[in-house]
Amino acid sequence: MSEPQDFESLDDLFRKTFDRLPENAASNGWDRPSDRVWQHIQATVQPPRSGWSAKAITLVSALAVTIVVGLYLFISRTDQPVQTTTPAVVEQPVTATAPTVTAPAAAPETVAATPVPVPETRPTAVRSIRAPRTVAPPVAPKITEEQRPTVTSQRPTGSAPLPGSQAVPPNTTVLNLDRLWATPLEPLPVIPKPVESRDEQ
Amino acid sequence: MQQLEDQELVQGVLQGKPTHQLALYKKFSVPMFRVLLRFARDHAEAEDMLQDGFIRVFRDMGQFRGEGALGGWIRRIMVNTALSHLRKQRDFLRDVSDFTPYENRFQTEEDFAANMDAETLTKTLQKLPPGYRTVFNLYAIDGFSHEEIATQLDISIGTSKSQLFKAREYLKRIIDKSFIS
Repeated sequence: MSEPQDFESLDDLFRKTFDRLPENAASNGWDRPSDRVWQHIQATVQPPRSGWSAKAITLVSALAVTIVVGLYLFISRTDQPVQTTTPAVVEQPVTATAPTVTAPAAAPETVAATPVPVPETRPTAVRSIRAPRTVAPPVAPKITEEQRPTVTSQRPTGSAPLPGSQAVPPNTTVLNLDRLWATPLEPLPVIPKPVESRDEQ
Repeated sequence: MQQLEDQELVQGVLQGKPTHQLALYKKFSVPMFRVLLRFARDHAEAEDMLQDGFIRVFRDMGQFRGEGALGGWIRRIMVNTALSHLRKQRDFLRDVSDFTPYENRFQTEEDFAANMDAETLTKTLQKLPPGYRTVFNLYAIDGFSHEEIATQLDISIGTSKSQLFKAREYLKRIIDKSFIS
């Protein structure tokens, strides 16, 4: 209960009125905060309880479902054929841009007849960056002169033999067929059948 | 005994004990809520300020040196929290030309003396514009100087003085009107 004559000024009225308030809240509750204030403070200040709460479990489950569905959609999309929208490629004649290698001036016979001076250094235009591929030719088995039959350059089809291929010797049976038919056959020699004795076994 | 209890509360809060946090809140929530009711426009805004203020108290408890009273340290935090809330309002320092916030309730001087209690004065302050209310609270009730008010509210000293002058004029009109039958 405050009286107006106790206050010297307006400021004094407010200051003394608020200083004289009791510790406890008023009975009508005008100066008492609601309980939700402490609940919010408690939720903010106090650390969360150990263990998995229902909210955390729900959050983790939702995250896992999202990841699984996302992976399923991603995989199912990648399985479908990809439709490209790139324009059709127009084929154009290819112009050779490789440097032309200087061909030999003449055939080997001509070269042998008229020797051409060979420069000591190769022209740079012919030199390529990559090292020339050296393919070793297949090594043929060595055949002595006695074993080597007469090789005919003529092929049944009349075509030229492939480079590196060896000529097949002629079939001697076919060549000597007339002589063989004219010669009578000699009787076969009688070979005695060997007798096996049980004692030797 | 009081100082020891406060030290125990501080140690318990620093250790994160919920019982000490609740005890500190129960001890200081009512007086701090009265302070914030003077700065706020209504009960709900004062509760928001109180919530943010106590969160700052628990968070910054390590900064309390124990040199002064714990209640004074908490009160400074509450006032700063209230000022932070008020500074966010767009029309914090607006000038009010027409202001008719109060209706006649008191017919006699005895009637005024019997009813002009803390609750009535608080509700009277809440009807003031926020700038008037804040400067009057800081200067007339909490004892800050105009220099300190200007620094805290980021305004000039002249603005602080003019806000205080207008707040007093409005309060006088309210209280004078209360005697007009």
